[in-house]
Amino acid sequence: MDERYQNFPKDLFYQIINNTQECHFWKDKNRRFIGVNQAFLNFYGFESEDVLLGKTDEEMGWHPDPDGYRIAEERVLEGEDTYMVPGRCVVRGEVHEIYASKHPIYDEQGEIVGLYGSFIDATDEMRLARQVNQLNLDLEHALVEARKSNKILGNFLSRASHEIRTPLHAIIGLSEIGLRSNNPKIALDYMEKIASSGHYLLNIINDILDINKIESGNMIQNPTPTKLGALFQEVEDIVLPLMSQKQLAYITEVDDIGHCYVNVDKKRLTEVLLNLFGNAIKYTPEGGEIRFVCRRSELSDGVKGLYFAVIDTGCGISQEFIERIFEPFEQEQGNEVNVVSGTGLGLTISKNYVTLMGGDLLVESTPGLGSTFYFTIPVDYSTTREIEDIEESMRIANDAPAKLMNLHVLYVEDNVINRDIGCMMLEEVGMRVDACSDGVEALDCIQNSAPFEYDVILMDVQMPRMNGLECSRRIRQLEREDAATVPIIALTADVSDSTYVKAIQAGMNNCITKPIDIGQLYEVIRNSLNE
Amino acid sequence: MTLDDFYDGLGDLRIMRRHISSTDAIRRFVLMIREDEHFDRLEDAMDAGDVETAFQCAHTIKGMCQNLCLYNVTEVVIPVVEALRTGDITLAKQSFETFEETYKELLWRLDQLDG
Repeated sequence: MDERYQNFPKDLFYQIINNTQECHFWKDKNRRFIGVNQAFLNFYGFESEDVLLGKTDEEMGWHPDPDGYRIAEERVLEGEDTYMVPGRCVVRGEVHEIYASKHPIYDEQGEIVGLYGSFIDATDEMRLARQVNQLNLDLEHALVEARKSNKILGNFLSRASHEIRTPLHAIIGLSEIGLRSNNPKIALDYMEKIASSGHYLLNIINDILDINKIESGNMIQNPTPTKLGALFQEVEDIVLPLMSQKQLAYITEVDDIGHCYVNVDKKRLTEVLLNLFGNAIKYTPEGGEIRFVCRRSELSDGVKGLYFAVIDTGCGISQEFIERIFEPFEQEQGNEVNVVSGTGLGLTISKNYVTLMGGDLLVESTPGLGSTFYFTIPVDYSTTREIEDIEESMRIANDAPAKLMNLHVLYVEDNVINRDIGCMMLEEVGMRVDACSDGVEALDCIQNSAPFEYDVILMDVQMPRMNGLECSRRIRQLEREDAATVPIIALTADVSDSTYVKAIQAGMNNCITKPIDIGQLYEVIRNSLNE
Repeated sequence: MTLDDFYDGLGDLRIMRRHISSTDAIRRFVLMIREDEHFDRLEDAMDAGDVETAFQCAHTIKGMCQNLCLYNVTEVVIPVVEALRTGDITLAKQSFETFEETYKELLWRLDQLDG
């Protein structure tokens, strides 16, 4: 033994090897274990090395790749040294990742008599390394997405500003023409068109908000009885001036349905049509033609519907682009329209709106010849009752003056202007009017009148001395034949739910707002008398 | 100033004519606004912190303007009315500035109309 170790115990190396944290093992030429250190026993959970002495790795069954392991050790036994080679082993049913180093053992004659190895458990480190790698990949992916979103946002902002300019040009153009006109009626007409363009502009801004709502699934439709003719007129008020600027011919093929009311989301249908017309105008060269079609139709399951189409003779759309035309921010490049205008959201939103209304927005196109955007939506013709109600109301409003003639009314209003206006309105339709300036006067007037003298009392609510509510309560408490039955109608500047409730609780029959609408007044009186 | 000019930007004369056919009558009614005291009483009540009186005056002005189809004036008095309805005189004073501007324009036009 080397003199350096004279004062050290003979099992010095054994002590060293058993106190190290690394796992050590040594094998004979046949790869059978002849010894391991304490760390090795701890790693595998063995109490003593007797479990594995004289056995091979294959007999222990703790390598997922036993053949690969064997081949590597046979190379060591031929003289090869290995350093920190990654590998795997199974410990109590769990796979651990290790880094192992192995070396041949030589006897004094230089013959290889076995091998010696060590390894460290790198399972946790490798897991952390993988997590870090994955995080790096995720970050890289997020960075790519963020750059893409930035680019999309940049594109969107530049396109949105251009889209906003289009109706602004219409507003400015119409204003200039209107200002030069000496005819007030024409100027008023242009003002109405400017207002329409202004609303269209606002809708563009709302598009941007709507696209968010659509993507988050929070969009719902709001169908109301809508007169189709009025809807078409509103659309044409905006688009016809733009068409005439490009000298585009406009042809309509609309069934005789303009007078019809249908239950539809008016705002969204208008926006869809404006979007389709807007695109048709943009992509149709000067002198071209735009055709609008609206026909009664039936859906596949027999449900009644309306078919809409906007057909242009513009540059058309390639087949390749048609497949993504309804995607957000997609616009075809390289067509004859040099300026790419629009937000790139219009068709996306329109398609979603049509879907919301129960239809499907589709397109057919031939490059160089033009495009047709079309859809069919179901319409609720069970609004027949609503249509009848609306038409009935209109008939009432027209017939009302004749039916109110000679009714005797007590009109109670404290404000002298309102009182004079109200009296004149009522007298103009032939009513006989007695006027009072507050509740005290009205009560006095009633008490001094014959039963059923008054056919109806119109009562302002807010009055000094005695307001309309208190006056009504007292009239109902009078001991006379008509006290409980004479219709008392509240006249108010606002008919909120609370005002209405208070009026009814005070004994009034109904409320109408100022100024007095004769049709509404007749309807309310008729209903009150029926009660 | 004609009646059309008077109504321009303050209301809708076309609708007013549906209620009262006589232009002379309409003219007579709008000129009566000059004798109406509710604007001054509204100002005094707001300065005194008298919410109830202020509300009644604002409400009366609202009804008067509605009766005369002066919708643009109605629109700017509504915030004052609603603020006073809830008792918020501070908010009412904020809204009052816009209303006051419009009402003073109305009074100026009435002077031109009478001339």
